[in-house]
Amino acid sequence: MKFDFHRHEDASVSLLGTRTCDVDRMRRFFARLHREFGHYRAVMDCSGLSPESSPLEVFSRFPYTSREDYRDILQPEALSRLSAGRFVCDYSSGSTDRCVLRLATPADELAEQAITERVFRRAGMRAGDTFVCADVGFPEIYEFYLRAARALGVRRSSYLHLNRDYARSLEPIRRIAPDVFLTLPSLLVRSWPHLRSVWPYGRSPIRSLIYMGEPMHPGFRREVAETLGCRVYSFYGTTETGGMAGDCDLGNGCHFDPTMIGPTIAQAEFVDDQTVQGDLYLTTWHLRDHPVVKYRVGDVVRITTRPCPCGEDSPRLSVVERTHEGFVLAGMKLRYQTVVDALTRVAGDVGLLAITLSDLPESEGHTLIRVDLPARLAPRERELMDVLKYEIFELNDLYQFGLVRFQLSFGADEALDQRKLRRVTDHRLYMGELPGDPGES
Amino acid sequence: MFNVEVALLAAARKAFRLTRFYGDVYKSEPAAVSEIRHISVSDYYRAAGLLDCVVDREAMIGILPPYLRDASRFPFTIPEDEAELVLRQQRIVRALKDLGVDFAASPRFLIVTDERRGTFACEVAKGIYWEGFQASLTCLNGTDDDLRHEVAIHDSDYVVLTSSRHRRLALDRPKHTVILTEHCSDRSIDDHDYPALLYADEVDLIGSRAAGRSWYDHEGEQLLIEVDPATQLSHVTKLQFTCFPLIRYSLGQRVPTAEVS
Repeated sequence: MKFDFHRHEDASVSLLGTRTCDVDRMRRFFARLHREFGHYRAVMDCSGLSPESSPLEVFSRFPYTSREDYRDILQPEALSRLSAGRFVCDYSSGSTDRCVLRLATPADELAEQAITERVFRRAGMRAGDTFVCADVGFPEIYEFYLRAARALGVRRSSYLHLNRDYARSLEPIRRIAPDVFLTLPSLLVRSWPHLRSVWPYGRSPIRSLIYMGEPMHPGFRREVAETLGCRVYSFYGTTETGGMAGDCDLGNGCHFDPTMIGPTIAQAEFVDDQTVQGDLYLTTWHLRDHPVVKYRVGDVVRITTRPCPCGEDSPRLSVVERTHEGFVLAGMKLRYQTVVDALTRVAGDVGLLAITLSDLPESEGHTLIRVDLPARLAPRERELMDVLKYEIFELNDLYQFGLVRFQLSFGADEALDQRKLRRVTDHRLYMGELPGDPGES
Repeated sequence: MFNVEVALLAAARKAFRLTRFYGDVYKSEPAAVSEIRHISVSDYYRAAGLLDCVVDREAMIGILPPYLRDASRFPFTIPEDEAELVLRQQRIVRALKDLGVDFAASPRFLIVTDERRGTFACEVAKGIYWEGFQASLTCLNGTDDDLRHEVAIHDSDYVVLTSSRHRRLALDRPKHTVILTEHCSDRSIDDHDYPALLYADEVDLIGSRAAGRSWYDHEGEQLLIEVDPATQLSHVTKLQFTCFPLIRYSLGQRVPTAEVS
């Protein structure tokens, strides 16, 4: 694999393949973009970018794609283009603040599957394995992962649906005896009291535990690895671009192929001559029918091309922090602003609010979300509660599953002083602020 | 009192007014039930794509995955909005109750699927866990022994077999706990000793057949199932559509119901 950091005029830095075939692929990408995608054709024409020009120059000068572009232009355009064909989709907000239907054609699904297979292979998955995924819903996401696993020769594959009764719903796992187990860190934390004693200490059949959707606390990661006697791997991806990168055995950052999903780092700061840190934008070179160019995903990351001791020569990515305030709940990322906007639609200007997340006893659910609001909004408590329960798509799902409860607290405005306010506080076990987690997914 | 003819005519008129496809099918707004013709999948040559067939593209929140991931007789993807999702869930609840599922017992389900029916099986699973029940999935392409082994591991209260390749007779458990999936595109299994759910790609769950019964129960205020006198095939109308109308649309086979066997 040959790649280089390219510095652009706006001081951003992109990691691009340098082989002739990589440049040719970029050229074909821009030619197709100009030929078949009305919005991007207009962007290129307005910016004076010709698909006949050097693809490196076109990419360097290509404008960023905002989430408003994605939500308001690219998604409707994709629906129009794919109306006569077949696609799968999911409905979620991701980084776009509002739920949109994300479409994937069979070709794009296979492109994502190719990346997923690499991640799984790197995480030690092999022919003959038993593979289990566990989550509280969204089986279609895991059915996709089961397909990728079967392409690697996995012999048995299951999706274990977890509900509030973690003990009962996890019960089959001892008999399943998975070699590879994929789940979300927050669900692993909740089910840990039941899972950790299923097998003798350090001797579970699990060889590889893969986590995605949320960062994992390093201390918990160590505890899981020691208790189960397994390696723990991170799987990084985004809602809009799909799975992208995964840990090797050494856990020093998630390996990825920049010729498939290309990173551009804005406000780039070189940590050393082979490592850059900044705000991550992604270009999906590998997607044919719903690609994005320089799309901001909301993570500050560090990317290094420094050789990994594992021997794989691909670059590695580590998440430093989120660029926006928010929280992750059962793998779903929610922005602070999404909650503010939803409550504002009902109560007018809510001003500032504070969100606190806490664990609930298993008998009472999963997570308590307390929202602190100004006292003047107390008369509208019921409406505001209904917004939290029913008007925010992802929260509504979790509420219906009995996995989240809400509490409203009304206090003096001084308590919500902008200068002092901490907008999101996470008291959940192992889910609060994490010191430099090596990878997030 | 629910008047099915009034509902049918209202649905046809609404489809004519709100979708380009039915505008083409009818040419003028139907004034009587007799003017509502029976259509089949071949009529969809008139549609350039799903956008010709939906009421409001902005309201779409999902799709109905086809029974076979890589094949469907229908030419494009079938969308759904929230209101139709709610109606579909009501049909699921009715069907589960018809099959004798005890909602108070928090039953556990295992959905057995294969490579081609995986996305369809996910939709079956979601319909179950929206009622608070556990619905796990296992993908099997192997032998009867694999099936028995997997079912024993999960130890669920109900097993839903999404494919006829998974042989129900291989399972040594009470028949009423093994739910078969019948699909309008498939040859009928016709084993009335087992409970069954009936599906079509274009409408998802149609109805249910309790063990020992020969006909399918369905939610009549949502789905009208009639027989076309010319073809003797069953046709379905979505009487309460909000997103993707189907008006006297052929299911491609004869579906036994309480009204018509």
